[in-house]
Amino acid sequence: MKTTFLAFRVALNRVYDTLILYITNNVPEGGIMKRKLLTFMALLALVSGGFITQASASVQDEEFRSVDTMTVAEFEAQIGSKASNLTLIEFQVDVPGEAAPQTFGAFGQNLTLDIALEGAEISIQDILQAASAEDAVSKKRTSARYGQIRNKLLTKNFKISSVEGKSKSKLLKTTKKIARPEKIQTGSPDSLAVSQTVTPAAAVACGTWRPNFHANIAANSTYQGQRYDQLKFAFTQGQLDQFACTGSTGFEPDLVTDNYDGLHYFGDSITYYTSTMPYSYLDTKYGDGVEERVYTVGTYDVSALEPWLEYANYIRTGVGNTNTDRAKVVWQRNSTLFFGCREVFGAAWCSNPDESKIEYAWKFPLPGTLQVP
Amino acid sequence: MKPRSWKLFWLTISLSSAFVVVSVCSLLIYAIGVDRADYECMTHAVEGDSFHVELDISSLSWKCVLTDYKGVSTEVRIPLY
Repeated sequence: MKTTFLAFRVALNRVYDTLILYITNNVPEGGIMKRKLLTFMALLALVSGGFITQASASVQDEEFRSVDTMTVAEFEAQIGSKASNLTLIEFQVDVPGEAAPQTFGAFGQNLTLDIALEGAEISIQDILQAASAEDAVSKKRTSARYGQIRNKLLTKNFKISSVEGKSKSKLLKTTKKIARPEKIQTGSPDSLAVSQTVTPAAAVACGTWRPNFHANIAANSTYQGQRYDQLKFAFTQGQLDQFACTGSTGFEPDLVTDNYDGLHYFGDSITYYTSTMPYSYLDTKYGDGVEERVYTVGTYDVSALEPWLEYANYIRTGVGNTNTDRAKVVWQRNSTLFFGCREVFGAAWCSNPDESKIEYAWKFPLPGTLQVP
Repeated sequence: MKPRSWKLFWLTISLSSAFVVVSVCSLLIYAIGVDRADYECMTHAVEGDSFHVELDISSLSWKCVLTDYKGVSTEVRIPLY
């Protein structure tokens, strides 16, 4: 009886999530109907908040350790069946042109083997893009090339170095840290502090809290009729210290595109997102206007971020109504609206913006790459 | 166990309920408004600006505070809704 009741609560949550996603993605922006619908959903969640649960509390965290080389089929047999209850997978892949195996990971709700592979694909795209900057002729970046790599990955052996699973349950969440070999040393905290943020009292006292921008990459996706954007950044130890000083707990890097002319490179709905930031979530488009389109994947626990580690946000959308556009990044620090809000409404509905900072205003080419050396 | 005064009992229940309803509604209204105000504030900001919004109860509006890279601040008023 108890299990049935729990399953019912989880099912209700899935229906709720589906409705929210449908309204966010399908009801036109700026209309009063969208606001009414989203407000109604918020009220519904409030009324039923104690009843709806985000995942079965009986799901336990899983942890796998293996150094064996295995085929995709073996990988699927060992982990695939449990992957739907996990939010993180890391593994090593032999990348063409790279001497040592590369460690890649994938974060996401409803993680599957396919999404884990996609995480690897995205990372390999980065390597190729970096390589192509040096030798653009010999290593052309095309959708077909990405497709070939994906096919190679699907038939190649993986060396599972460290796989960590985390239960989707928000109620019984436990954190297990894993070593990330791809730490990036980008310089000292002082040398990276370009500008100072000075608005509210906390910021004046605390100094620069925003991360260092590394790159923004926008292109057509290997998925037919879709486009993606990848935003990469890293915090120094000093910046994380300043972030903690402000008292803010959440962080949202907003990718904002110019839609003042009504022309937009990305489509209306986000079809997929992922982030290497821990505790990540897709922000709602509630409150956003039409002149500037905002695409955000945030984290609600900045204390879990590591210094010098490059983080990447990835979103995929449909195709917009133009082939060229421009964008900027808005770093936002925020706090939870009130205690317990996240557990009832979800992180996306409970972030209270504390301060934001605009960088590279309309300097991101869409499509294209803007990279800081 | 009976209350000493039924009137006092119902008054306490009513006031407590009203307090909870008003608190929750206020939070919801705030949560709905702050996202929109923050977006509006962003549209006023330019390269290198920091910005944040504050709820100004006295004028029943949002105060958008923009600070440029020199530390010079300007304020823009945004309607409550």
